[in-house]
Amino acid sequence: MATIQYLESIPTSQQEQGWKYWEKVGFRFTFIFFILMVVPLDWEWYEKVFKPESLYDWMATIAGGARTGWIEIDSESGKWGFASYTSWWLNGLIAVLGASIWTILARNSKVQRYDALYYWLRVLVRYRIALGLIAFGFIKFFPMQMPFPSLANLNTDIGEYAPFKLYWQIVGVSYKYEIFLGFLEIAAGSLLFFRPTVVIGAIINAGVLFNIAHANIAYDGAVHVYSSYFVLLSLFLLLQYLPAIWKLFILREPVSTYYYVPKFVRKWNKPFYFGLKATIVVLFIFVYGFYRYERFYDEGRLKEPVLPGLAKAAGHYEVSSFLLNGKSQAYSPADSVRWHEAFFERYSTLVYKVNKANSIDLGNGTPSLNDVLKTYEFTGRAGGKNYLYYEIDSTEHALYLIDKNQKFSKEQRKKLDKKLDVGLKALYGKAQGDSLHVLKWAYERPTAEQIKLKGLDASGNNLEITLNRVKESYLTGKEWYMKNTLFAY
Amino acid sequence: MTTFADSHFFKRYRSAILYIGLIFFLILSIPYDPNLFTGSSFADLFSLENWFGLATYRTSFIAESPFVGSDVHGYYNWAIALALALLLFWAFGRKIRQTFQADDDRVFYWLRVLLRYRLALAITFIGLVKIIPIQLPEPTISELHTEYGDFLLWKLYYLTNGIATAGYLPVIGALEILGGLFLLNRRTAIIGSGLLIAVLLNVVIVNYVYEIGEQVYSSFLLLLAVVIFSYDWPRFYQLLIKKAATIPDGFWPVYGRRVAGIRPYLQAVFLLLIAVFSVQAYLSWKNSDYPFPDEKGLEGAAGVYDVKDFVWKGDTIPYSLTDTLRWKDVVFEKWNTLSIRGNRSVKVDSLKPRIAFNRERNYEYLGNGGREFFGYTSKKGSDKSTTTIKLTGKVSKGHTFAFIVKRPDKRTVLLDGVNQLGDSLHVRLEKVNKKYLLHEGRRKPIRIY
Repeated sequence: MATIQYLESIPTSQQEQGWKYWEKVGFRFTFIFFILMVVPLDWEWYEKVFKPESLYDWMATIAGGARTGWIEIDSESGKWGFASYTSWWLNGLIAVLGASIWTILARNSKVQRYDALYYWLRVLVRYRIALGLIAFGFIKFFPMQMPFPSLANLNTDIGEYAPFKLYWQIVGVSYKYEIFLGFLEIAAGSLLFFRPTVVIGAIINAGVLFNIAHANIAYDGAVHVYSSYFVLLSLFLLLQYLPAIWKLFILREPVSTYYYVPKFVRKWNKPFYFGLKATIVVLFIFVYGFYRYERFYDEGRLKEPVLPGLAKAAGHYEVSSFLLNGKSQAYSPADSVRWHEAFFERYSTLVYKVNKANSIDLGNGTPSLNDVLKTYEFTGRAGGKNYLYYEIDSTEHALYLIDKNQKFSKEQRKKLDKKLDVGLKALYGKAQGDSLHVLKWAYERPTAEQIKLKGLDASGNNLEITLNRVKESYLTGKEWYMKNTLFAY
Repeated sequence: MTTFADSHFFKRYRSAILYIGLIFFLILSIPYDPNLFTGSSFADLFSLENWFGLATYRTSFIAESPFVGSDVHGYYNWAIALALALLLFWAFGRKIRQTFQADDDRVFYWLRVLLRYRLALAITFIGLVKIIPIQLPEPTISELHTEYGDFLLWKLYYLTNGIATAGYLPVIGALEILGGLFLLNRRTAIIGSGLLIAVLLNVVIVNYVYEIGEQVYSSFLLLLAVVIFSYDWPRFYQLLIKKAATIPDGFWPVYGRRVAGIRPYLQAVFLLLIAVFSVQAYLSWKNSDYPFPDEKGLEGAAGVYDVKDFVWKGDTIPYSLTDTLRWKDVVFEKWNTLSIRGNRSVKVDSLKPRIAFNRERNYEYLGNGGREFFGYTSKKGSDKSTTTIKLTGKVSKGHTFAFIVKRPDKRTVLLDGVNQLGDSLHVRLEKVNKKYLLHEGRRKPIRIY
């Protein structure tokens, strides 16, 4: 028993119908609003696009878009709450004004439909989402956005974390999950390049980014505006299909849809279209992906340091003796000078804990080239831990160290971020080194499990410290990190 | 005019798949398990946890491991159910078809009815315990003072979700409920199942990644959602991918007189069930500290304490991060739980977390390997300034202490007593005024220890 149904209207009839008055007015608003949302309003962005430093930079600028809007309100709500969306509201207001003017100007116009404009607006939005999400996805696909917690972080109480750090870290605990999320974003973004898969891509994007945006609000992750931006754009893409979905599934009526697609008018149109499209797809999926791979595995532009620390020294250390200016100090949890415990990471970070309030770096810990600028391991974490970056002089058995949690000026950062290391030995004792507070400590390794450190601290006290490695296993399972082509640990 | 003929979802030669699927899902959906109710009295039958247990029932020929982890033996139950279904169909298939005397479209319709209601029941209950924060509470003081690496993965996942603000969890719960309610109507079933595929796909992956232990069950729910969605897939494909003319589902169920009469009542009962569970869950949450114990702790003692003095069998042991006897810090919860952080590793209870009001409230110590948890009973002494408390280990039940508690001032607690072996212990605890970065957040510049 087949069910026979009749379609009362044939598809072609829709083409001749004009849009209703309110449909046209609505479209004018939508058009202006989304153009304002998508087209960058930031001159610096254009400078970067027209004078890029490299192909990668050019692509990253295009894919990242300009995240700054018209205005940023300097208040708590302006950064974290309702007011952080002010640019959206302003765009809406401008679009209302623009649509009104357009409607007045067009009162005698004979234009019945805005098919072509609507189509190209959708194309713009599709490519905006696609490029943005692919860029989002690659930093997870090659898992660097959320590294596995460092040893010091594994030994930090839950209460000492800022919420946003716990959110990032729970993803970082599993590289499989992170890679999956990255793949999902790249795939859903890529689906928007092709007309047949736009609906599926937009549904996935709206869902995934809604969750990301809400999580960013829930944990103060600071990317809530940018992620909800993609939700809004994805919903806009779905808007066109809602009447058909309603009619077919809810009202259970036959549906014949008509969606405008431009025709190839001239001979060169078709090869030009396919050529351009293929270039974009190849550039932003494969070439961009290759660059991301290179920056991760061959260059070490990451959130986590890459220079190896003392060989085979990684671990959690108890402080078995601590001599301050020759005097032995006993451990007390209230002590602000005598170390409580210490950690050598597999990379060149030495962490020690004392009972002292630190000013907490509340940044996200963005990727850099220079290991000193890789702050992810300590941003948003308290608990009296101090993070030292060190360079090893193995002939002299000396470590040159600087505190990582210090404010570097913009010029200093720029200068540092040209290579992986700092070259502390050369700076030690010089004016520039003194401004960074470079320390020099002698180290000794009597046994594989013991490290002795000796030298002056930042206030000129003479320290002699003996560290013994603690045998420790973590319930979070085995740590993971991606092997790079630069170093072995 | 264009004429379209709706093709049958199940071609004739595929109809065996349909019947086998029906038997398969019947076996896996109907709670006939005699073990389900053992150990609970008749009064318990209508308790919250039994409602929840029934709604999220899973058929277990082979019992699933009660522990968290990567064990997925539960899938054997699917295999057994499939084998049974094949066997039954092979043996009685012809007879079944003759007695039903229904065409495949009708059988598939009833199969979808079964799956829709089965999934809706489970997912609305699962969503409710997120809206009412029963499943994922905020971290306790003990948890704030446990190191990240001392938690099992599932606990870290739960804790991270527990600290979310801005209605993050309630919204996820609401989406689950919404998906469930959409399943109750034939027309909206595609939206409901589509929504639930998205939500459940993440749930399944999260279960695998964080070894939460419900890998098998969550994938069963996902399977239900996929089967329900698959019915509308050809139309979805035609309308939204091919973007061609599409005709709606041509199947309209025709009910017999008896079914038509009873149907509205069954639907009302179903909604009532959800309503009753909501009210019950809300009241239980409101009138109780669930998932934490209900008994109050020592008055005004809640907080974290520094262990100032520690005298073991007459020997004073100084502060140490290595001595295996010395305590590092002690937490009194608001309820009658005390937790101690020492320097030796603690046995971890790796039971799965579950909704269980009437059983031991074990959520606070499950998956925590950084602290040892004790429950305690307190008695006022003859002179009013002293209290005696008896501590019993929650994981190692043999580990006990009996202490006389003195509280010379608001911040100090003195414990004097013996452990289960009669070793004497004197401890002086001093409350620490602790500020947590977790609560301060990142909105303002902050200097904090």
